[in-house]
Amino acid sequence: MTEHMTERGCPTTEVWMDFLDARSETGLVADRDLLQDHLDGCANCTDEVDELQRFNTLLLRSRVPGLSDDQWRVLDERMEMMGSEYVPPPKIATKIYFGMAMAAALGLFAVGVWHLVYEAPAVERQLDRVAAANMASTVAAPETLRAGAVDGSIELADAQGSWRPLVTGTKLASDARLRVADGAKSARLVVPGHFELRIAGGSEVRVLAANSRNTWLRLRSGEVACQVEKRRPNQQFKVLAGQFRASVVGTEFVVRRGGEVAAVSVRVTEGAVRVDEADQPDSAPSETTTMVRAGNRWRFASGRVEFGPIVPTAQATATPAVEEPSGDAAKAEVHWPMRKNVVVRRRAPARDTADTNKPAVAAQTGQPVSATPAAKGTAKVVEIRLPAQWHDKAHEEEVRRLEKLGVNGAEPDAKKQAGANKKKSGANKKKSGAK
Amino acid sequence: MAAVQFQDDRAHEDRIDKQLVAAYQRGNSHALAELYRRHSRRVESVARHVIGPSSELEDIVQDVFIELQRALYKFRGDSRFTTWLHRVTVNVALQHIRKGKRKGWLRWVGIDEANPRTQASVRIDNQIEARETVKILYEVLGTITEKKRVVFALYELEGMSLQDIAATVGTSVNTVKSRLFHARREIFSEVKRRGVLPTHMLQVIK
Repeated sequence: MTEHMTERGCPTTEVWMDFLDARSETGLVADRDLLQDHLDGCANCTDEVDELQRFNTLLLRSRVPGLSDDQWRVLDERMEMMGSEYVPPPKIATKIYFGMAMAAALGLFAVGVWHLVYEAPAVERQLDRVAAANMASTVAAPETLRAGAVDGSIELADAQGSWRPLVTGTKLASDARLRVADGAKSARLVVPGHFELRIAGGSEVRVLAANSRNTWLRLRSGEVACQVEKRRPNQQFKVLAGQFRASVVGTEFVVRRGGEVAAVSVRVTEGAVRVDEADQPDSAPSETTTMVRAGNRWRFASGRVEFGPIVPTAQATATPAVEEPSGDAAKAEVHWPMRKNVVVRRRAPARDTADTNKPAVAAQTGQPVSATPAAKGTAKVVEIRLPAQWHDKAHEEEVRRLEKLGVNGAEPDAKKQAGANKKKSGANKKKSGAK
Repeated sequence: MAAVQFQDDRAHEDRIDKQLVAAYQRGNSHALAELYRRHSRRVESVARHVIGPSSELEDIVQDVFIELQRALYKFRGDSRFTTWLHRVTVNVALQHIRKGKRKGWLRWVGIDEANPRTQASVRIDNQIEARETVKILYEVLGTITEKKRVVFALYELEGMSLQDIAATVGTSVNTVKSRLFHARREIFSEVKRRGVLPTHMLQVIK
């Protein structure tokens, strides 16, 4: 203790700092009562402690502000995109690397011996090489998709430009164009296991690619509704419209276009839609890439991009919708509300459709529940702003997400633990044996 | 009992973190997103207290998770995930400070530019005085060595335990204590010298 005493016999500044620190982790303060007694009778120490208390107040005041909500939102989006685009390399244990290297060395040795002893005729070797090359090309090429059910009358034009009726089984080759036959209001094309398109009358869709890996469409005019099956991470579904590209990880959306670009706005009420500026489906994400998530709105007008929570406008509800099948609630929308219109709608899964909680919640919070005028009477397009109550369910959502990832925070299995301990003890025995 | 409950909670959270890391190591990139959701606020808080008010805070949080993405395969689970994450955060924050030194130490961002909600929570009546106070304190923090500053910030401002700080900075608890004592003394005498101690005290417990 003497090392923490001044020449006057008072405790040092460090001791008083620790005395004032409620945690007392440093262990300098052994007896608080003793120090308190000293403090009560020592004017010098009282002054010092007073100064130290004011120092602590200064520290308390120095809790500097953190990131703003806007900054967090931007950061969340960036991280979301980063996570979705990153495919981690597979982890291979060092032992496997070693094993592979040994196998390769042995293989090379064997091939060398074989080559020296039994040299195969040159023609046969050439044939093998050709066969291997053919096999490799077969494996690498993704399979071009074929039209499944066609509901209504859709016409297809190949690269030569001649229009003919699209029938079940027709290949959707690159550069093919699709349109609805004259007079029909809309038609539906189903590609089983991949997507379903509803093309409005007067629209034209060009197929940039439609294979087992990527589906890239360009909407040349009119309107197309797309219902997309769940994609694997390396599969893409993108629709280009004018200078913008909508890449939707989801179930259904509608794209509409017409005239020149004046303004673009993206409104998402559920799920996430990635919007960026691009004229090619496979070009790198542009600097303007934005992940628009539920409850938010992205807008481009007069050369400026705005981002914020959805504000209901008459314009949004006035946007005409394509023909919707009855009973389905559309969940996310992207509006290009000026002359060029693009609307993205994500269809709710069947279980969500039956969930009466969401509209009720929206009604309680006074949030807009507006029905977009539909072409046919039974269609329902419901916009729901993210209700406040959903935030209270954050924990439940986290648990659900963790369950999806197979994470439950449970103690390691006792048997496994015992096994691990056995292994450990075995390893220790080996070590001691080696010694 | 509460302490036991806390320990249980902490152990449970640790296990979730480790399972998420294992999932990521198996190739599930969604696990990284979940780790970000769970820890981004904590990362921001640690970085904020190490570097002070800076416009680079957002970049630091992002850099920490980019670094995490690269290095998560090396995490073997010997230590707590949060300790490891704090270490990455402190290193990234210090790198930013070193970069900043070349341009002029700690680019200052005024409180009025920061989040108004946070301002309200600290209940500062006089914004100008608070702004000056924070500015001076972080200037003083800039005069001591990096090692001491990190320990001081993590203990006094971030509220971390000495054990956690020792694990974060990769040294012993006694070294942390020593750095903390020196940092406290140097900072205290410097703020006294500059005459910036408040004239009154807030009735709060640290």
